[in-house]
Amino acid sequence: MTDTNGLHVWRAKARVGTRLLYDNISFDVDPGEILSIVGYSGWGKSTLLRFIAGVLDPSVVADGEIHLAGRRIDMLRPESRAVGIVFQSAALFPHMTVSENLLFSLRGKSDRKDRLKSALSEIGLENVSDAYPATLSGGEQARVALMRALLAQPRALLLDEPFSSLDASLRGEVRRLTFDLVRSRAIPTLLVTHDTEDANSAAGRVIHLASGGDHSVVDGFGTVSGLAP
Amino acid sequence: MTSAKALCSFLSKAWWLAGLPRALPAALLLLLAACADAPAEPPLADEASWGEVTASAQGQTVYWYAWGGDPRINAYIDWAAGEIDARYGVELRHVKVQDTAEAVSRLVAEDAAGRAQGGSIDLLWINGENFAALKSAGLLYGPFLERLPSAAALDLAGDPGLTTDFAIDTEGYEAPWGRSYLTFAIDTRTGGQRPESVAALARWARAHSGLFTYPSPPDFAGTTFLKQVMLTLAPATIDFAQPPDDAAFEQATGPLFAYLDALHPFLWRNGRAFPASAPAQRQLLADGEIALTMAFNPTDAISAISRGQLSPTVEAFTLESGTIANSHFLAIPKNASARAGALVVIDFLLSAEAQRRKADPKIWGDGPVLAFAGEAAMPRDIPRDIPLPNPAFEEPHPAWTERLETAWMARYGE
Amino acid sequence: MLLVIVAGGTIVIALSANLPAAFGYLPSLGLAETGFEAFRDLVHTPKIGWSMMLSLWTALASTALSYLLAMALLGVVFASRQYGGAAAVVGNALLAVPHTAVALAAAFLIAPSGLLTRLASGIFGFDGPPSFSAPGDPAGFSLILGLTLKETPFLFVLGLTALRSLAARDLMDQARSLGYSSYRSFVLVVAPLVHRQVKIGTFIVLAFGVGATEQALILGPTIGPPLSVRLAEWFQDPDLAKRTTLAAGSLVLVGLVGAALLAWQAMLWLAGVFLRRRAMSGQRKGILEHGLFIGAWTGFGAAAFAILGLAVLAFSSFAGPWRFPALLPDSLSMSVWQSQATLFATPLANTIVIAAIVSSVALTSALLALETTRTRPALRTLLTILLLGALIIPEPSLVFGLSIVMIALRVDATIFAVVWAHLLFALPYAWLLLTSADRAIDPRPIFAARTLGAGPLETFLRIRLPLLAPALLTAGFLAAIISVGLYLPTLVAGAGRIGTLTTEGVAMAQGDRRVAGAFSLLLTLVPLLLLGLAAATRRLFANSGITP
Repeated sequence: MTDTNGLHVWRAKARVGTRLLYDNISFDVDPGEILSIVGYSGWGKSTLLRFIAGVLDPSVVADGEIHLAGRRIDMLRPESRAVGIVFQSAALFPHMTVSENLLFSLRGKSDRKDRLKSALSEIGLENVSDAYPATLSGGEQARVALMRALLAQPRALLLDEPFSSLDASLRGEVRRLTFDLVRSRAIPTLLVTHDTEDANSAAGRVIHLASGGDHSVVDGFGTVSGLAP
Repeated sequence: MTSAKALCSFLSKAWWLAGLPRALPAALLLLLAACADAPAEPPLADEASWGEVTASAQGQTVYWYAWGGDPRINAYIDWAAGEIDARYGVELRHVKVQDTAEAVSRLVAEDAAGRAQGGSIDLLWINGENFAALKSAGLLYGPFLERLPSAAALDLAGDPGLTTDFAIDTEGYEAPWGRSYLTFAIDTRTGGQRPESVAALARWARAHSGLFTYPSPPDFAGTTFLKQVMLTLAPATIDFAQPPDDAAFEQATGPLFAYLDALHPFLWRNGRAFPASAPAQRQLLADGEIALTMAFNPTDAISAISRGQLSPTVEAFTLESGTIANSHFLAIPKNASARAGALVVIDFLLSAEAQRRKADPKIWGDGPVLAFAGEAAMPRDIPRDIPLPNPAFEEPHPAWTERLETAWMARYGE
Repeated sequence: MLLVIVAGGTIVIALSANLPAAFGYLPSLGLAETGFEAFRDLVHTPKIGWSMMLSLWTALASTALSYLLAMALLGVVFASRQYGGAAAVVGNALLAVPHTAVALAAAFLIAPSGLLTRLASGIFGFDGPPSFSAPGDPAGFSLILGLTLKETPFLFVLGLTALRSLAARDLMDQARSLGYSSYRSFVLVVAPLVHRQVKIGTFIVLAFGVGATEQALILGPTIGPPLSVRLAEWFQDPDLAKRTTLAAGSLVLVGLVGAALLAWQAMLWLAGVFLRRRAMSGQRKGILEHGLFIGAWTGFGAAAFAILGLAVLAFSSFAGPWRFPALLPDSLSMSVWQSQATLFATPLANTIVIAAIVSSVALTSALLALETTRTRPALRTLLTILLLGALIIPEPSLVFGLSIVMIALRVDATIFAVVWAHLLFALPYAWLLLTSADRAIDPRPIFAARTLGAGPLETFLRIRLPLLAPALLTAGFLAAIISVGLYLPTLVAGAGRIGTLTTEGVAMAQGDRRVAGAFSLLLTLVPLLLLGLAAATRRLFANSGITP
């Protein structure tokens, strides 16, 4: 393994009933790195992220080892894994305002007001801090979701198609903000997308997945690194 | 007229199947109006012969409002309904009331609403203050007693218990149906030696704290218990056949309430709650929560033992200091819809067959009103342990009952 | 149109019939002297203040308790990710069992000679029953227990339905990835969303609790009873002037529901403030998750308690002498079933016939109202408000008001009257179910059919009706189940002449526990059978490709 603070997934596989989603996926993500996985739709990307975060549906049978910051975490409860996840839907809590969504996530007792303020300014949403999610635009929702994930101080971040529901005009801006924020935290970040442009602007390594008949196989240019068996 | 009735009866069976759904609410309203106005039976002429009575009773449905708190009595009524249907083509329906006052309330309401015919009650099981109230309000049909063929077998002249109800002359407005007296039952396993008098009962209760109670007046058995204690303790000078004036009431109830005040702390739940009825109290005995209960029926406990509700360690007895006895009756409201049917039902209930069955302790064990010709006519196998009434008290005038219940409620019930 | 007027009108008329009567004007009973006499009489009734407070207190306490238990159960079941189906089956089953049966069962468990103290006597070795006042304790704790046992399944099942329509799983997963445990996530993130949808259900529970009659008769105190029991007593009082007191009391009962709703809103507001503060503190651990855990196990305990009670009560109908402290009866006996079988037949038949009529009328009316209001959304909203009103007005106020109308029309004590009264309570649920199913129907096939030239009737019969069929069936069974459980409407509208399992059960239960057990068994089996039939027909539809 390249960095003991990295995220490291080894031989992940998942199955729903008799259908194999993916098999034998292994990779490393270094702190500060954004690893992109680009694949066709339906390969099980959400399943992989949910597996890493520990919030799989019980109907999915998943297997594999996950190490984070030198610790094996695949047996831990999701709340103990310190893995942040941003869903495609943003999954903002509809009964909480923007500020409240962020405060819910903000750790620690001291300076909560100040830290909330700077978080809001980081994503440029001071003016909608008291708005409820339903009134926000897609871009605003995406930014709140990202900041909310970061405020919980995760040791790794998973992004599930965070830009796919955005207008093309907004997408670039939100992308830039996202990657800046993530890099400044220096945590390993896994981006799953079907859009190669997302992967290109992440400017990190890219894994391309291709269909292996009945399941996904790793494709492309040998970016599946680390962990020689 | 007949066609309207036929339509109603047809619709009452099939209206929800019939017709266009869109017309349903309209049909419903029309139907309600039509059936409300449909005239009831032509009133039976007072001089109609018995043959005419049975003829017009054919096909009628008789709603009998009768206390429904005892499964045994309900089963007996159910038996009678089957027989009457088979023999006279009269359908008898038992409306199980918890207190006959409910039926009185209903009749008074129907009278106030001007419902002089087509009333909802055809037959009543009644006595005492409820009879007095309905009779004085002119809401009962009669006199009818002497029209019944079965009444010929009653010793109306010789037995005042058949024509006097709580010191009031029934004047043929109700037919005697049965008679009974207040009986106690003790579970000897937890209750030990039975008390023999009202005074001994108080001592027993003190020695067996929490194991005695009585049904909450105005329950029939509970009120009767109060009356028995009152009659036992009251000065001999009071005339209970007359409505009480304030002085007499004070005089008669003073010893009673002194007795109860002393008794209550030793009752079940410290006298702060009472079972709703005698059968409810019997269940408490069955559960072992109390050791002494009462019923207005000498075979109540024995029959409960034979049915397996009470354990065989339970014994029935009456108090030697005096037992209150009375008759209970059947009456027909003035606005009954099925007057002829009600007459037929009463006539059957007074028949030797029905009376004998009712007297059977295995069925009900209620005292018959017929003078059976010798022992042979009675059920042969009356168990020896059925207690007999000791020197019996007559029921006081119904006004006593009402004042007593009110006074009890004011003192202990609120 | 007419139908809407009849359905909605009944509710308005039933409630407002109390008004003139409360001021002494009751011409159908020959009372025409108007004034405040009825209210004076009401106020001067001994311990009436206590009765009102008792109604308020038992309703509020049981609503709060059942809501907490239901939410905690939802949380634990939802967090488990897998027992939702099983929990729904148990919840629906307990929901279907009538209040009367549950109250009788609870009474048998908690009495001093009841099963629980018998167990305790075996452990602690006392052999006389202890002395405590339950059921019928003056402060109404037994009544609160009985109500809670029945209302928890109702709110739980409502909550399950709400959860299904929410994206609750994602939100919970999100909260967990932020470091919150599943229980804490549920309380802070999912529960507030469920609450928005279940809130109206808590209002129904609260209003029902204020007017609860049969439970109050079985479990409530006999001296100083809740106001609902007083109303029933006045209804049967031979003194007709008490009917005006009754009307005044019915209005007061509506007022009590208003007061209870205000108090409940205040409690909800406080709970909301508390939870919001917990959520904003960012703390990942606290007492909430322990509370949820305790609540859920209390809830499981309550369900087990109810099931045990029903089973033991049913068993008691086969028992011989069964004295304290015996855990089992001395002997078994079929005497109740043998000697009383014919007594069960008529109430059972009445129950089934009435349920069938109520169910078909409710369905027909709801379906017709649905079609006639399709182009009149304002009318539909009005109807929904009126029908929901019937559930938020306490049962006795509606029933006794309706009885005034029935006596004036001279239709009381008939099967029509009973059906009419039952519809008041069955129709709202049928309507709510149908309208929500109708909203969920994809309108495109219907447009398509119309553009292909199908007439409105043909479209309705060939497309909409088959699509609505599963919901129609469910609504029909629901209406039947509700009808089976109704006590006060049956008793008052039927004037005792129409005896059903509930009315006969309450009347005959007090004399012999074994008879109570038999009635309770029948009262439990009939709705469960209906529930089973509903499930079976749903499956049939599911197999045919139409899903509800």
